[in-house]
Amino acid sequence: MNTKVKRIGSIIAFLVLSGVLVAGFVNAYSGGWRDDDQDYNCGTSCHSGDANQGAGEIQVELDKTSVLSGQNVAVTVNVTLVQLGGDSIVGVFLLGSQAGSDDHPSSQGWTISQDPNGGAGDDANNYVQKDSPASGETVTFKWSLAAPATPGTYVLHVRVHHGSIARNPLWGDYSGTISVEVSPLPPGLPTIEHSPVSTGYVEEPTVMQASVVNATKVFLHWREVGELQFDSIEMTNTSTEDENGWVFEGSIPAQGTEVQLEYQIIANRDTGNGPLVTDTAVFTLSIQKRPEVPNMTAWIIQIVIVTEAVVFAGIIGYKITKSKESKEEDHDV
Amino acid sequence: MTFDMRAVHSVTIELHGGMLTLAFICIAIKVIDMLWGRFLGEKGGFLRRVLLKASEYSSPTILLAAIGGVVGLLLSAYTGASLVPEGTLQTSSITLNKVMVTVAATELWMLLIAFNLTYGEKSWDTRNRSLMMIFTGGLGYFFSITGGSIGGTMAGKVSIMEPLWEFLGVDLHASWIFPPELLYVIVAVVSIIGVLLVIYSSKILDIVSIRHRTSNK
Repeated sequence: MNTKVKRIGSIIAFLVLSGVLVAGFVNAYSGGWRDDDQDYNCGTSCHSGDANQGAGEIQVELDKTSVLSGQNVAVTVNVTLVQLGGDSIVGVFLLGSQAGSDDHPSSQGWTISQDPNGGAGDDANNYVQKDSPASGETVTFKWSLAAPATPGTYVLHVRVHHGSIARNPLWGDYSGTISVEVSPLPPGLPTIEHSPVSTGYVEEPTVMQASVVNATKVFLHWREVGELQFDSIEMTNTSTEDENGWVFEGSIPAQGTEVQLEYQIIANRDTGNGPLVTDTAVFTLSIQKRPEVPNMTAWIIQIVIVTEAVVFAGIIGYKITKSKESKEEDHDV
Repeated sequence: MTFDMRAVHSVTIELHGGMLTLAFICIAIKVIDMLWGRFLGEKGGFLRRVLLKASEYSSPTILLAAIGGVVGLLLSAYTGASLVPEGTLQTSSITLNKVMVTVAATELWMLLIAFNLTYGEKSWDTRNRSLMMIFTGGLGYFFSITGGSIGGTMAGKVSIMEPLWEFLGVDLHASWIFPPELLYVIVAVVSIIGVLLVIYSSKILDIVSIRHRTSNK
């Protein structure tokens, strides 16, 4: 091969490979990030300028403005966008500051117990996306947060993205500051450690477990989303010894259909001078049909069939075209 | 600044999406050229001349674009696999559907490349060869865009093929795996038909080549 051609080829290959690698460092996503942990400044770089501004409304509600250390507080964000993007996504950030870095609520000592899409524990995110049914419709996001261990006044912020007149409509707006007072735990108050359960299955009871300290009775309350009254059962102590708390278990009974439930765990301690009570936030539980586990052997066999069919088609196609040509040559002779 | 595999995956998607679409468009140009030649002959003046030129350039482009597309498909499969949440590769029906469809697309495009490399610029010279190119390219492209549509759905984006799936009643999330008892029958039937067809086509070839040799004598 000509040296010049080789050189040009090498330069093109280098440029293409560099482009691919550089693209890996690009953080902007026109269609929105998936649910993730994000800082405030993610919402400014791609979302600044008048062309990217739309209109909408953010409403933030707290279930309580003062909590005890480690107890849960629920932050409900209602977002109504006037314009929606082509992908109809609404993305909301729950932040502990607007500094531009270390803005995740965990930097201020909060722990996200459950995010609006059901992410819990390590999978709980401060940036969450939901599909909006239509412009003008309100989309609700609800986070459950465990309060910081250190008492004090803490602030939270909410930012909304997506929804405006631009190509990938975006709307950066800010809720203002939400303050929460965190007080120290009074001595002897029950404490509950519970990893929220976000998914349950139709026709199967959903087992809840909590590690509880200083409680004589623990209750599990649940209701369908939108209902006022909770159903309730007393949870059973299943542990034989206190290992940083007693393990209590209880089940939400099997549901016949797919449904959205809310539940809460409440621990009591009877002191003789009235009970001391601790409760968790109200968590969301989605009851779904249990997904069918695919048959891997059948899947592999099916792929073999596809491969077999393609190989046969190739061989036959080749043979037939060959034979036709030979026939034609034969005819010519 | 963090390295994000999603961006690399986006590049590989664009690579195979663009390349295979180019290959498919070139196949369509060849088909239009053939149909024009058959029904209108050399009529058409300027338009005909443009079509002939486009058809001439399409032949090598199909091969190059198909090779680029298959490379992109394989890279996309690799980068995409690293984005699937751990543990869901074997439990999520939509992921398994995507793999199945991508395998079919890759194999069909590879068949087209093999066929094209065998016959070179004569790949479109006879009706059977043209049909082979159209069949492998057309079906390969259909499976490629189906895979793309499934991938888009997995990423939470809206696929432009959604109305088609809705119209056909296709559920991308449902398992597309046949029940095992039916699969064994299909394996047996496909294998038997395949072997018989290979024997049959070999016979045709042998008879023709015997004739050919005899007549040459």
